[in-house]
Amino acid sequence: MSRKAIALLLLSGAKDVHALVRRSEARERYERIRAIVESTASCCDLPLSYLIGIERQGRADVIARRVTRTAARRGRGRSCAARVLDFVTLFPPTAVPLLLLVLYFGLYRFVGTFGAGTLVDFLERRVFGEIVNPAVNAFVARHIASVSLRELIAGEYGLITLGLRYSVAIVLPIVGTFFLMFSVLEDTGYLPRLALMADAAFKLVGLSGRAVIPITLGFGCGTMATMVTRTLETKRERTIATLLLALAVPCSAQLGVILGMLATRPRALLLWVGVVGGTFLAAGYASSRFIPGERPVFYMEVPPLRVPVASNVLTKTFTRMKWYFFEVMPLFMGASIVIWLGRMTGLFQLALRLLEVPVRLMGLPPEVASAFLFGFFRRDYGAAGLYDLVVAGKLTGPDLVVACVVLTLFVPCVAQFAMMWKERGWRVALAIAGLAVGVAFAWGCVLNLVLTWSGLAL
Amino acid sequence: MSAGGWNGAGGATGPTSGARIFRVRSGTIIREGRGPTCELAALMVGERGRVVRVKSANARLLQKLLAMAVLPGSEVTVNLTFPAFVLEVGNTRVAIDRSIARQIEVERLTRLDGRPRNAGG
Repeated sequence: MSRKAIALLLLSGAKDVHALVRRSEARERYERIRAIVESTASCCDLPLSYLIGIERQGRADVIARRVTRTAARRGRGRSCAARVLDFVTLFPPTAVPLLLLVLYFGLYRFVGTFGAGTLVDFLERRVFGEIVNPAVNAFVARHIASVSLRELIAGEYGLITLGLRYSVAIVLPIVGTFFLMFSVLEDTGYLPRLALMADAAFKLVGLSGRAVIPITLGFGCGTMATMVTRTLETKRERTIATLLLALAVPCSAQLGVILGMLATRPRALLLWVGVVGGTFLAAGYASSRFIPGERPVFYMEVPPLRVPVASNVLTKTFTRMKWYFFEVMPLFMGASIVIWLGRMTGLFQLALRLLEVPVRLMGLPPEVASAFLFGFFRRDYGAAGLYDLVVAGKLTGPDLVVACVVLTLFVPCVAQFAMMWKERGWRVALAIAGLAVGVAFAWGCVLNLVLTWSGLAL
Repeated sequence: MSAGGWNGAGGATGPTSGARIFRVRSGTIIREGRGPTCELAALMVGERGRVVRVKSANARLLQKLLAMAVLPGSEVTVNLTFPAFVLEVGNTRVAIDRSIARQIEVERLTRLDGRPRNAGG
């Protein structure tokens, strides 16, 4: 690198280059260099990196003007269809309904219903439930004598029967369909337009329009959505989005069972939507006020709309699936080991007994405690546990609303929790989980009191 | 490269006197004292303006705007003002929210009726 380039990087405040110069030059000399950088910076009202950037841009423009020439565009360049589409995707009265359609069909129906529903059902029930798991269980029963080792590998929560099944049969189809849709949206140039339309609404909860992707994705799979919060600009936005995903965005597995249970009771469903939606807004508003940091700003380049190239979309989808799969698989394997340890050491029984205390306070039968505990290990297990109680006639209408609200707000599943830990660090992950438990139980108690006192039939 | 004073810090939405800004050797930065300036947020759909400066101390935002070609001297055309501002800058188009649009000071190149500022009538 030339001395001039190094000098410019030093003036721009490039940390790596400062470290390099500090290492390679005598201490005194580096201090002198630093003093020069500081005194130069103090002469300017703007960051030096910005001024250098402007200067560089200016020179590039001069060169570009000298060596290029712009030909007159024939027929004003863009086709009629492109101009119509451009207008439709940017003019709010047409762009907002289009946005809702894209979110509904593209993310909710394609990723949530097809990916997380049809494909997951096939892989989990048919492939793992009928072929892989029975084969592994039979193999383990035949060849491994130790019960605890058998439980670690196979059984209900083993490394292969839970960890591998979870990552291959549940996560992979959701990730695959999501990344396919995401790549299509990206390559058509629609993504920035979608974020642009959603920006004003997301500002209400302390986020920018970019957050539309992770939050909508949370209705499919919260674990992946938590990972996708990486795309947000500031640490503050990433924390708020992670909190909202953990607290008030039910994943597709939960949504399916909860909607199934409440569908026949419209008033109960309305109450559930109201409480969860209200908690989402309140939590977003409160965290945007109390979490320190820069307010969200939105800036994005809006590329022209294009027809995506299939090979590009497929290559991108495959690369991302591979990358995600290798990041998440270890989390599910870890979850299997945690469950195994919990069962072996009797910690599960202890946790169940502890959970029964708040469950009784919320006026629910003690069996609901196990639904909450298993809901942590797999969100839909929790909802399915409640479903069994409803079928057995152990839950009344008000009980059901209380239980569904608590289950939705309660800590996210173990994989999402692990992802929170990985992405945001243990402090934030534990704080969010603690907050979710507190809010969930507080809502449970309040709802129980109000519903008992008012005698509302649900 | 020398940095000049940043006088005439634009008030809310009202036009302020042309600000003297730093010059750079390539001479691509706007000359001082061109005409009245206002916030970009005050421009309406179809209006054009020339960026005079970005009133922000946020280095990351400045760099992002620079990368999107929104820098002193560039001409912008407003395509949309709600729910966010969409600007045409050269051959690219960028979206920014109102809070950023309020930090960008521009010299208005069109009158409110959309015609060039120096056109008669």
